[in-house]
Amino acid sequence: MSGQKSGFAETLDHIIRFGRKKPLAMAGLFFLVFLIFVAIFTDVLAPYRMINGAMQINVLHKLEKPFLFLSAEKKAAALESGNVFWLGTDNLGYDILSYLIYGARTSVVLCLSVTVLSTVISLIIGMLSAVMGGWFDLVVQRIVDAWTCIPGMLLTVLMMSMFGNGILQMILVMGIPAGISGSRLIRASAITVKDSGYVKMSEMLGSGVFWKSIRHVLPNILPIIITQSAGGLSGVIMMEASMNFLGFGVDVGTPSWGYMVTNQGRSNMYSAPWICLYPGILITLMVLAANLFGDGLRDFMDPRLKNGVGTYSTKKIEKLSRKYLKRTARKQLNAHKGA
Amino acid sequence: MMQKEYVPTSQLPDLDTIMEVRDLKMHFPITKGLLKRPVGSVKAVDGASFSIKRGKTLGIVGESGSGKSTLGNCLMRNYDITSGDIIFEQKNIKNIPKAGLRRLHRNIQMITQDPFSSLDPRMRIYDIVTEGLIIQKMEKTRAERYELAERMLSMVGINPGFAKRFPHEFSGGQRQRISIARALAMQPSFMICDEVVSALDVSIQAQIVTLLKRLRGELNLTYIFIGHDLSVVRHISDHVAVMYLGKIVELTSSQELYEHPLHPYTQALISAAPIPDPELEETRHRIVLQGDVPSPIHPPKGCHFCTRCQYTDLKCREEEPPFIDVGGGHFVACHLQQGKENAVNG
Amino acid sequence: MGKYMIKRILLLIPTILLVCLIVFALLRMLPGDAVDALVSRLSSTGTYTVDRAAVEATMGLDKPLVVQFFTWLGNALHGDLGDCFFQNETVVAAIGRQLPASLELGILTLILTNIISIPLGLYCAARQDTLSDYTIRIISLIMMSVPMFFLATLALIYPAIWWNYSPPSQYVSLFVNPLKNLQMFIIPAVLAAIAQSGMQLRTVRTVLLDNMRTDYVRTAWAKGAAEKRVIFAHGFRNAMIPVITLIGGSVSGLIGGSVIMENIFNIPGIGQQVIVAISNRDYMLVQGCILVFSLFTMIINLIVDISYKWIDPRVSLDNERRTGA
Repeated sequence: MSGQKSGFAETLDHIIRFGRKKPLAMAGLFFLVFLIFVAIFTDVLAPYRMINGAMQINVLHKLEKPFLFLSAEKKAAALESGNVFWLGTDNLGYDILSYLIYGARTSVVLCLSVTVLSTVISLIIGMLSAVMGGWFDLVVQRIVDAWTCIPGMLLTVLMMSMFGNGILQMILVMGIPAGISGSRLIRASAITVKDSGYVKMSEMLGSGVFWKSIRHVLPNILPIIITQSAGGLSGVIMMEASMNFLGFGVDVGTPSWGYMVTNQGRSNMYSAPWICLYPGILITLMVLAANLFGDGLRDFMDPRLKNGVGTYSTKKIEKLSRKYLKRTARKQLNAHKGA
Repeated sequence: MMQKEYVPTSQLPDLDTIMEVRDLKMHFPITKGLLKRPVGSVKAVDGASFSIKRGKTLGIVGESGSGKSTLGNCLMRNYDITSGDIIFEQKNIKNIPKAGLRRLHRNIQMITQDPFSSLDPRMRIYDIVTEGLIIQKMEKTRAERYELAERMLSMVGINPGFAKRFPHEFSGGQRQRISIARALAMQPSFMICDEVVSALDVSIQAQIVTLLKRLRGELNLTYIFIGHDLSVVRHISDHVAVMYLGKIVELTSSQELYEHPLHPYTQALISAAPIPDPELEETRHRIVLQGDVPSPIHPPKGCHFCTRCQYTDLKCREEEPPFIDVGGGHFVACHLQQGKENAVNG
Repeated sequence: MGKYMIKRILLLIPTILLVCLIVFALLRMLPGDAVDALVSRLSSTGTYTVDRAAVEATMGLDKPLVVQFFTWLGNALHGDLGDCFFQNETVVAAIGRQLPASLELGILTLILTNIISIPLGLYCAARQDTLSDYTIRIISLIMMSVPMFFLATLALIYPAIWWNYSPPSQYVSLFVNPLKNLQMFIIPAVLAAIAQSGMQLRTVRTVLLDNMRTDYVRTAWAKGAAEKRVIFAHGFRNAMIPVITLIGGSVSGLIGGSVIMENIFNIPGIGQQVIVAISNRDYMLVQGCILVFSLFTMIINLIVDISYKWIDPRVSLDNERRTGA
């Protein structure tokens, strides 16, 4: 009946369809991929790269304006001496553009790791809890319920102050609670799958909890997992920026956008008010891209969309029903004529 | 053709009885309140006893709620039975531990009713068929497994070239065949077919039943065939057990059942089956049962059938009829039959 | 309905206990004792030679953890959450002092969010796929994506530069001087409301649309009912459930958001209090604050669940867990 394409061709087909159906979401994806690219090639792209893991400080050029706003002679001088600061510098002498580029790396690394970690944890807790059932499920569910009652922000601040600042700590502190909260949805979907006939048949073949979870439950809840992770992306980015903003994030030496808003942005409020704009706009763009992508992905994977009825409004239903009525009426008319 | 490669797992060919069930009871507790106090139980199976010889087929008939599917599941050890014994190949499998249960699943397999939910929609057919082999670690390399899958598929009548397809590309009848192939891949000696044809069209039903009969001959299988359509069950079974509200009310060979049904319920069932001859069909006398099926939580005190039986009397309402042999391996549980040889037929 | 409420309240108890346990355990795992912090503080002022053991004893930290936990729990049941380590007041007093400000901020934000999001959501659902619908959706998406602290920082910086305006930094209670009080709260409330309504508007719209496609609404159309009546009488009521869930969820989000807002606008609320307490390793205060917050969240969830039951009588205790609210 159908010629089964190879796995790769099938994925490519899905991606192309996605791009055509949801261009905005595709744009979001492109932006995120662009950020990943920047994150990988930081040392190549940044005009003032890090030396020994620390940002370069240009002592002579503090608080300079962005290149385009310099007066003509300063521009010439800058070009000559080779000290061009495209976005200016801050009060510590960091080149803002380089700082933003390195900040991108921090954001991307954090965001990706936290998403992966939280997905893995929510899968383990959710699936095992659903498939094993019984007392394990009861106990774990009580703990998850209690955990979700504690306000997330406070918990994160608390744990960051416990473990100190740093990227690894941030990944753990954001990833594990997100995983625990996410396990609820995974467990709910896993329960619906677990009661299906094929899982019971698998039991009759002699399978145990792990085999059932990985071979049967997991592939059948894959759309939900993907949707949940993509949807959580924007939250992760926001949380990470907020943590850095409050000072409970990465340690001081690591460049980060959120930190820049507080540190360089607010402290230079009067002398250089533009500094806080750059990282803020970048964070906004990243969250926007994540939101667009997450929404688009969720809509795309909604089975209703595939059948084409989902996004129709009542107006469209009326239009369609009018078309359909016309067609059937015409058919009946022809049949009458024929008979 | 297949017989040379397919060896039944039991190495004792001279012991004929492959399964014996003694007074099997399966009661599901009903709990109430937060503390889950047991307030009663659903008596799904309330004392069933029979035995099956190797190579024969036992059919189990009954209406919905009679407990036949539960019986099948109990034999498959999907539930922990409340009381009674199940003796499979001379071993009591009532309480075997988990490891033993795994080995058991190589000898007993089950096929269920719903062709649409019994196959994982995300797995390819050959994966589905060979899944059991991987789980049970039956030594086969990937190529061997694929080959086995192809053989199994052709044995059930599915083109082995379709092995890489997904379940949704097959029809209901074909899916049941795939389920049969999956069960057969484990090389069982005993198969429980739980209403396998009830969800299919009549013509497809015939195909599947024919297939099952052919496989039985080729592979020397023993079946328990559960269904609610007496005509279909009779077609494939050597012996038929009729169940009502958790009890077996009659057990005999299918020929005898049709010719001399002794229990009033059996008589009603047979009378309900249509006869292909329209003249006969119009003029024959139909037995229509009055009343409703009582609840399995509170079955009647005496005979379970007494609320609907047309021959009920005081003894039926007071005392449960024993399941006795009235001659020639014909077991009935009815007070009317005691002392009688051949009762009035319907 | 009453039985449902009782069952639901009973379920709270193990959850509360678990929350207490989790919070307590987390805090005690903090590297760096409260005692060390206090000792270093006292000795840095140079006034006392500090006997560490004595300090421990006064704070009650020398007893084994299990005993500490149960003492604290027992006291909490009587309304006594202990004394702050670093401030000269009981935890209850400290919380009580700061709570009104957070509550006011939260309530203002809630009101503003719903005033913005629900009417606009209705409008967007009614005018689906028109230009105004798209515009409003894009705007709400952007509003959702801008980090609150960024917006708040901008709101602090630019008015200061352009108009020499900065919001009052002294907290004045609402009952003393409403005008000044509102001046302090209005900007953070509006900003937080903007961010929240971005999210809520989309949900209201989606939920309403889902309901409009159902059969009973189509019947209403077919009957010839006016558009307004169809939307309000039929679509809206059943759309309320997910909206109420969202509102309930957003309340607990408000707590987190308040931390940032209070930090930036210098509002003396619980969020700020907690952060200070955490930095000071003030166990008692942190425990008390988190406990209060969690209780708050649980009560909101309870109210949401009970209002489900009121709106849709079919919902049962177990069902509500599976609808993935």
